[in-house]
Amino acid sequence: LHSYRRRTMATFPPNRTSNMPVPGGPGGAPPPGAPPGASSSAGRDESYFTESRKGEVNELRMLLRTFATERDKQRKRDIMKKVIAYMTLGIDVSRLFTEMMLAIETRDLVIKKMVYLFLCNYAETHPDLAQMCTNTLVKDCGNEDPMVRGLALRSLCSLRLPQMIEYTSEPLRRSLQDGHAYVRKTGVMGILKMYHLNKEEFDKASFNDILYDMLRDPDSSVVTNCILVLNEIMADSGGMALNRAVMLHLLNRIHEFSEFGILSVLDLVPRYIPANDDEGFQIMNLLDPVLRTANAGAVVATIRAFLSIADAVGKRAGDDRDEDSPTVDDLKHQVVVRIKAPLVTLLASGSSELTYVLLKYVDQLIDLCPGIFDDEYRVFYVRYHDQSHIKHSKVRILAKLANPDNAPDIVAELGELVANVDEMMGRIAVQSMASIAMHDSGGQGAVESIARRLVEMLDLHGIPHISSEAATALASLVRRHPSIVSVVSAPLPRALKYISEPAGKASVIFLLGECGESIVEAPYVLEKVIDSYDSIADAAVKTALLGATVKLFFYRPPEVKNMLGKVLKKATEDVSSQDLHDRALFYYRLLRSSPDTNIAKSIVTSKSMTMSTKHFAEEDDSELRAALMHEFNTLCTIYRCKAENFIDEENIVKFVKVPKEHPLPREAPVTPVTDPGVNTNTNHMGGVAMADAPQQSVTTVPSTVSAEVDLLGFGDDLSAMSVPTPAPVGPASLQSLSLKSEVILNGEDYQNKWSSVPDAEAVIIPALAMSTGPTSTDGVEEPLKAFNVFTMASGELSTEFKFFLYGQEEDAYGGGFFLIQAVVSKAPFNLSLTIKPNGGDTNPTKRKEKIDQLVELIKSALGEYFP
Amino acid sequence: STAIMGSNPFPLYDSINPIMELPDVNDHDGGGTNGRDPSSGGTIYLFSALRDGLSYLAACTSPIGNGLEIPPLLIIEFLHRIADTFVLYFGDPADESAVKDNFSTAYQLLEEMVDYGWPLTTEPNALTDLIRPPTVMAKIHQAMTGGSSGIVSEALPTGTVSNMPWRKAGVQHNHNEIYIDIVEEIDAIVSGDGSLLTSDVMGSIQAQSNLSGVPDLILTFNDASLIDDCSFHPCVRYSRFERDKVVSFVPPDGPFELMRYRVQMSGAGGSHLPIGNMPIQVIPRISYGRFGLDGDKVGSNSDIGGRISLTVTARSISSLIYSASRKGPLVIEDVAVVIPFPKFVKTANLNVTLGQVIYDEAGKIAKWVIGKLDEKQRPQLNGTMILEDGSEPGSSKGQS
Repeated sequence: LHSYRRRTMATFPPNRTSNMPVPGGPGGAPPPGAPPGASSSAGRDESYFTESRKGEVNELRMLLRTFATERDKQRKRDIMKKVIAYMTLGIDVSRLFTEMMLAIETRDLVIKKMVYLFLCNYAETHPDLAQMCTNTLVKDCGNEDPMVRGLALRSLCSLRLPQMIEYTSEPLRRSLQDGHAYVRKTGVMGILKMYHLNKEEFDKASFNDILYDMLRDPDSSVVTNCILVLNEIMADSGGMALNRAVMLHLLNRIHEFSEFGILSVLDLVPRYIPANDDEGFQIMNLLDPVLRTANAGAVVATIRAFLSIADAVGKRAGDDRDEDSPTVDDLKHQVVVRIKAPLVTLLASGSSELTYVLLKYVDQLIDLCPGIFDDEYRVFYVRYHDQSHIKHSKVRILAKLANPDNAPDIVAELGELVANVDEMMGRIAVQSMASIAMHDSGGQGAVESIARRLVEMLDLHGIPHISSEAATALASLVRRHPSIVSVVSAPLPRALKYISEPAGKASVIFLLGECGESIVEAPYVLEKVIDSYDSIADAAVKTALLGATVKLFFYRPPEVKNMLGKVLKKATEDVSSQDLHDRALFYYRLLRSSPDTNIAKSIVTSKSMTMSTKHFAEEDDSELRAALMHEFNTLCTIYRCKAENFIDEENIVKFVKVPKEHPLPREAPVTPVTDPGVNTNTNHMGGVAMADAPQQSVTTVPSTVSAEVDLLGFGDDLSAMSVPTPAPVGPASLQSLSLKSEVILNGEDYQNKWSSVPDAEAVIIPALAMSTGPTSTDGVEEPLKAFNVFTMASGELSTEFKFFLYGQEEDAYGGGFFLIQAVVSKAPFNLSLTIKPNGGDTNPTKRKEKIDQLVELIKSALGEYFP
Repeated sequence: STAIMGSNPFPLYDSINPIMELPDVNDHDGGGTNGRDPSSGGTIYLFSALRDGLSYLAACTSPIGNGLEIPPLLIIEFLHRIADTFVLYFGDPADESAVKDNFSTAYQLLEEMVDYGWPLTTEPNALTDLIRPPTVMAKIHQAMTGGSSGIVSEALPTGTVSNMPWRKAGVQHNHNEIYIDIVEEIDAIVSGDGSLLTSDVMGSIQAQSNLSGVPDLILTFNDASLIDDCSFHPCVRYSRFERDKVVSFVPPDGPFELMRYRVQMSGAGGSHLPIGNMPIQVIPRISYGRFGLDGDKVGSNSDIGGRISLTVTARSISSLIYSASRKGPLVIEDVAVVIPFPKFVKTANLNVTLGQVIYDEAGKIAKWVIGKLDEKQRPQLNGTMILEDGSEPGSSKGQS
């Protein structure tokens, strides 16, 4: 997706400059019938993309000059659109730069956007001209309209001119404090653009700390962008620094995120090591609703998160976990069971592109937990309108789903596909069928019935690739199940005549050697092949021929003796294949030097070719599969190979699990991760708590913050984290708010302190909506006390409760006092706070931060009253 | 972002994988791999999504997403979201000409939907807040003057930060109404002998909400247990559904898909729907042999041919759908049968008792448009085929 927007234009055919002679009119004159001037601006533009317009840049310039005097808004826009249309076609209209920039001073947002687009497109090639417009852009960044501010900022950051950085960093910094989320999120993305443009300047500006702070932004799209930007900036250390507080904060808010924003949070989860098992399970419960979204990306990201948590909290051998706690495999099994239904729904309803990718994922999950998808095998039946690559994936998966119950159905379905017009499809169907027999997953009698089907296919000489594929399958099958020789042997001599593909031919010859005892005419058909040895091009066929002849010799020496001599001679003289040559020599010396033919016989006809395991050695990809599970939901799954096999080493993304050490010991009681439910949002918005709104969300909220975890502090373990990064991850501004548990303050002091802070410095938090209210003052005082916020005085009036509260910071954090006047209004229930800081940090930003944290702390302490 | 791949994309597209690789684009200076710049080099991955004849392409550098691994599904989902948005703005289908006619709006949309390669605003409600869709007036204006649409209303975005990303604040409508459409697709595989191998019903509840303020709505099912699996628009309260099987939600403004669900008719889940067969059945009879063009079996020196006959029957579906407002029996509308012929068929001569049949010689596809169908009619198609010389029809099976 990168550089996808801006580079669009560059992918069009090379720029055609208007200096070139233009077909259709000498010297670039407009073609007859299209009079120059504004006459065509009347909106009568059949299409902006007709070919005859190549050389009309001059005409456009004329039009643009009338722009300033033009009064009709629509015509103005049409002129602009024409310029942009030319640009889109790849015609170089950069000569209009000056005229275009004159148009930037407009109140019409659409025209402004088009000028910005023009500017960004040509800035790289015309840096001098672009620099002239910077002032306008910077000025627009201070526009009263948030939309203009945002757009101007985005364009300013997209100019891709390194020399512009000095102009951009100031508006950028300002935008991060903007009152409007649209500007803030644009600003956050602007930071990333700056980072890629000039890393040194970026480091000087130290935006990192601000970004970490902004993870607390009330607008979820700003938070999303912060995560994305931090991940990219910190890519060298594996992505954004993550600790328990940050993770839980984001997870608790996950329902506020947009459908793509959710993905940014979900992608963090696999990197996070849960503090202990309980927390892991709580995260899973919290994420469960995401499985109900219609976005396939979110569903699969959740699956990855689940699997990673299962890895972290499941019991392994030699683990000190409880006897009864589930093992990693149990947990993964449970996860796959849980996600089966949503995946199948997505598979059946999504677009073909999604289906293709999802099939690859399902394939991997089946490998992980065989058997779970078995009963859904019909979903993997090929549909007529499926695209070929989807059909192929489905048929491969079908083989893995076979069990004794469904195997007859699956094999019958595969049988239907064998004669498919798509050659590849037919081959895969045969291979899948054989694979069911190979892995013995079809139950009693399945092997033989599949073998019979394959034998029938040998005779499908109308479809040569199928008979060849069937022969290959049978050759493997005979090694796995020697008992089917009796089924296979009869049609072999016939098959040898018309199977033309080398792989199939080699397989038939191999089979003739294996079944030589029971086929009367075996030596004679082989002899014919030997006679035409010189016309065989494929080494595999020759090798098979050699092997089969030697084998047959021990079963029926008199008939084969001459043939053997011939083939050994040919093969030892054959220089086309080293392998063949050496084998022939080996057989020759074995036969000649063996004192007793029985020894040679026991070597050649031994059953070593028979397999005792279910898989061929080369089929065993358990190691690869394990590696791929770590890369689930990436291209690795789709390509079915490890990242290092298709990505340059220096580009491989580091995967760093964090945090290395947890603030919590495993036995410690875990702070519950609460499930706010989707509804909290809507309840907030509606202003009225719905009568039937679920109550559980209300009751669980208070525990969000507890003594051990300062959820919004972010600080305590950031500094302890040992993410290998040169830049300090835990900036000082992230200090958590920490209140003393014992504070001595009398009424007089309180009043003095209160009045010593001017009212202008007080922070007022108006009317936070509450769903219910306290019945007495104790209902507020007690919970606050648990969080070290104490009450000086309180009282109940007819319409409200009033509280005078205070708290003091730990000395290490500045020792400042916070004096709070809280009013709980009764109808409707809401909470207003007036907070005055006294002493402590003098830095206004830090102060503001601490007060924000204090508000959050009070809110969560009183969580039972909040929706 | 959009490339045009020809007017009839299906055969071409069939061979295109949704994820493609472009080899190292920086190698063209002839320096081979030595002169490569690792910071910008590497493979380009192209993700494609096909909609309405347009291929939406996203190019990703390697490492995908600049040091980050971006899930492929994110990109594909996002491409589809762009296509959805184009449909919302330009009407259905948002094809080549629609995008060309509205290119400036398309630019604006992309500007808001993606910033520096990352999805930005994708919720239709938020987007229409930022960029007004072409209005009816604008469309009339366009029709009269021939100008392009994309006229954006003067109103600037309200700028309200909504706690519900999907719903804009302060919606006002003169007529408060919500329309709900239930669209169900039966996805079935029928074997050659007419028996049902597999069938799923994919349902989608489409809504168009024109309600003021913050409406809180509830949708209940007669029998929610029939639903095997479902997924919801973000506005639906998930926990409420888990508990009561009631869909409770605050809708976005405008058109949206409330939920999708799947009902399995057969398989291990146990068949629990009273639908044994498809509403429409097609019974094919295909045979190959030596036939004359008139269909009579003649001597062995004539062309190798085949016979095809199809009978279409409709089941009474009146009993399945209850509607108080309906009068008379239910008629199935817009019935059409598409018959793809195998490659070895040279030509076919088809006759039908009802409707019209067109045989496309080049594509070897016959399309039989029946139109309305009720249970009393049994339209039939009969015809003969002439096969390519030397072909062996015995091994191939007709597809229906």
